[in-house]
Amino acid sequence: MARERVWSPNGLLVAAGLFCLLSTAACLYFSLQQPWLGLALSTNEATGMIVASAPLPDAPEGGTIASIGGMALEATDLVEDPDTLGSDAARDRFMQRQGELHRLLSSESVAVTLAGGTVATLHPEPLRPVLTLPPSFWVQVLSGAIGFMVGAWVWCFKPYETAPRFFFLSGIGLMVSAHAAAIYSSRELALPTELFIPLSKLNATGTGLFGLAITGLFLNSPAKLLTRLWRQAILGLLALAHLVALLDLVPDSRTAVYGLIFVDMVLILAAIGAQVRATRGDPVGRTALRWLALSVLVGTLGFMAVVGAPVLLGGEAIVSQGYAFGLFAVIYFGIALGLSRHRLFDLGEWAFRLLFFLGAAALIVVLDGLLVLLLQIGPRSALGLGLIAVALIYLPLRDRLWRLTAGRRILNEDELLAGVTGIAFAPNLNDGQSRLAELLRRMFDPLEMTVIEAGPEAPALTEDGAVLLWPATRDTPAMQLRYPWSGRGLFSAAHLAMARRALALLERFQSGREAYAEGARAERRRIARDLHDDVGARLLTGMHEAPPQARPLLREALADIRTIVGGLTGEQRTLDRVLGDLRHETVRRLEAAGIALDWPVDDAGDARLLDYDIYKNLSSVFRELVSNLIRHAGAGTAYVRVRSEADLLVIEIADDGIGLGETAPRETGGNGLRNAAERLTALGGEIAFPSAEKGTSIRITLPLPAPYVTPEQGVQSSPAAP
Amino acid sequence: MRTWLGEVLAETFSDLVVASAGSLRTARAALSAASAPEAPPLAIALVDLGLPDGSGIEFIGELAAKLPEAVPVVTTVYDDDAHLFEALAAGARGYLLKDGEPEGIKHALRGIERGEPPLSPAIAHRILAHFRAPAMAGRKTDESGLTARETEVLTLLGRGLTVPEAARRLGLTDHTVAGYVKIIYQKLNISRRAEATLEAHRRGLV
Repeated sequence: MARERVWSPNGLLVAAGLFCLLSTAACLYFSLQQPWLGLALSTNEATGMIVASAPLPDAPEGGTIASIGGMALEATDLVEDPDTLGSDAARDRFMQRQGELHRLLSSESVAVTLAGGTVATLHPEPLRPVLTLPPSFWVQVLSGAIGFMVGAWVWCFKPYETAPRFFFLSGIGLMVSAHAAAIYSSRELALPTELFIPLSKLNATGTGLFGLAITGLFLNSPAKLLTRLWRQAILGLLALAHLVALLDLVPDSRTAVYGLIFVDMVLILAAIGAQVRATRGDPVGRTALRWLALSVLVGTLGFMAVVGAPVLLGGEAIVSQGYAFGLFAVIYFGIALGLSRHRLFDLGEWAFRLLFFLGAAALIVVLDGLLVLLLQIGPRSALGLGLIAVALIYLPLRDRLWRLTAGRRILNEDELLAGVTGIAFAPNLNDGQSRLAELLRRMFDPLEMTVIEAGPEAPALTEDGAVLLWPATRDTPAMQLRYPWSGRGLFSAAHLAMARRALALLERFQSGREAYAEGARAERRRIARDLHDDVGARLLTGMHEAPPQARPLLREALADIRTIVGGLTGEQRTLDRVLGDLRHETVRRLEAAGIALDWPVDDAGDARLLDYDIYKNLSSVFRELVSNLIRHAGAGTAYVRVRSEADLLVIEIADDGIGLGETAPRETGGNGLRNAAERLTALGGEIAFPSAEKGTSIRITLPLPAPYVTPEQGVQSSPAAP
Repeated sequence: MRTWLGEVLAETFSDLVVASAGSLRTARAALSAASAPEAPPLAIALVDLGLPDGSGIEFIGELAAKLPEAVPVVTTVYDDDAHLFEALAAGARGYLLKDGEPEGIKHALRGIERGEPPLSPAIAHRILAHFRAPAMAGRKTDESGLTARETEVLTLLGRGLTVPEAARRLGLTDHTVAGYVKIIYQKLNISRRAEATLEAHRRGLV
């Protein structure tokens, strides 16, 4: 299948919206182009006669109508849908009477004879007033429009996929059926045959299309059932059956349409059953199916229960067919809700943004219309005032609303430069990645943006401009942008050039930054070497000559230099590595002091990267606490427990020694603890002394950067190997 | 200071004759003297990385090439992985931290001499990274790559476990784990030599 995308989703949706408006306008036109008596006719269930509830000349209470223009009225003349009459003969007779009645009503004046013999001469209005349309008319028009628009909305994102196509087709079927029925079921008494017969056929066509499309939907989604040939055969047969009914090839076939709907329902149920089996072991597909099936079943089974089944059984619909159409709108509301929660049709919440945009556009049109209406109606003197209000308040507001929702801004040089430098000089990879996403969003405002594994060498367009592929750079992943400008446009060559320019800029900044960083690293290495060779050597000499009690102090100084040197040469360390170093060092120190260490290490590591100042301070604090423990606790065993949570590192150091009570030496221990508390506070952490049964227990907590969001495979997750 | 270490060395192995050299130049002279056929065998060499006239890493490479049976040991103030890694890759069979107590240093020296060298978390991480690097992954792993067991041992040491702790965790004896560490040292040296050969090939030197 050639994938030629000429229309953006927005273009398709707007086109669908216009079509829907046109159809709605046609409903209004045909309904209002009819003569109007204003008799508020209804059928008296008991007598089977037609009753006028509106006042007539000489009969202010109205009354039972015997005949109009000499033609005796029958209860069936008011029936909502002639397909419910049961036989071809009854329907033909009904249509013939409709034509006759319409001809009578279209004349200048018509004589209405009441059951009591009173004759009133009425002058029918040539046009029906819009406010006399019953609520059921609007329910049907709206239900059809909702079904059609939701279908179009899903389809406009995936115009080449089977399931959205069937779903849209069902919406089309619903609108055709509901709009046709809206016209004839809300007629006052009669429609001309040349209008009624096509409308009746349209209604049947739409109903058939709806059943066919829903069957097709569940045959294809979430899993493809049977073989392609079988699916086509089932749908083909069903279509043929509907066609036979539609063309009156079988006697009394129009009532059989309800039977066909019943067959559709059975097929749909069977398909849903098969889908439940087919989606075993596919929880995502299962959830989507559950939601889709629930919506469809509530809608269609509800309709069958209140309209289809009673008619099939030879009775009358329980609920006016007009209101029953509202049940179908339930389906589409359900789908729209499910779309955001379960990614039905693989669409996500982003699909709603397109709706919001169109909603805002529609709102502006409506507001404009209202304003024009108000200005027309208001007294002349108000016109000037109105104009000033419009100029000062409304127009700026309208402009703002438009820009908020629809503004398509092209980034200027300054903004591009700021965005790109922000990425190139981001403090860490996570930030860089999110800043890139932010820049791309500001450049193109795509509905969907995903990190992809393998990107192109240079920015590229695919799917005829619906997708822009952004390549990976030395520290940002490759990205795929879909549906630019919230789905209101496609990518063009100019946008591609813009992406290329941004990329070239980004790469230049990155290499400049690398060169600078390399220089800084060389300088740091020099400082580290000097510290190592000069300060370290002196400390070492001092240590071997110093009295034994001074040695631990010098050894700690050396350990600090070691950490500083590490910080100068390397940049970030994983939490694992920092804890590993600390454990290694602690084992040795405690062993030398004759204290056992209980520090379990679990299998799962934590590869989060810590910045130098975090691990330097963590190491210093930990070292200090272990020193205290060795010097003052008089412990036999030290216990260390490390717990790293989403954004918190908790370390507990405990011992079985003398405890921190009044006997605890304060002079050095106190200082060390205060020092440790200060270091932790500076990093947003804290130190606590939970009560312990025996010995001392110290708990330090330290906020950690959020766990590194593992990018898709193929994206380097750490800056160069240590 | 060197004399201090020399004393510790002499005390650890009582039958050794200990000589010290203060610069790369004198050390090289001593090396050529020791390479002479009639010279007494060189058993162990403690090499400082920062020498006044050059790098101890160079000397370790030369020593490992000329007298493979001798045991070169890096001595350093820091178990700073960047420096140590290069020295180990050049052929050092262990390292000593000079800030330890004499007893600890003696213990470590005996361990190295027995073929049970130390391996700090920092170095374990670096070795793991070395063998995980793309250049290594593409290579045949039969001789220079790490086995799953060796990788496991390295990972545990990298998380700060001692050799006995790692052994308990893996259900092995201390001796076996120490043996793995020794093999890891050898593989690092072999793979680095292979890399050098490959690099020389690439540049057309061989």
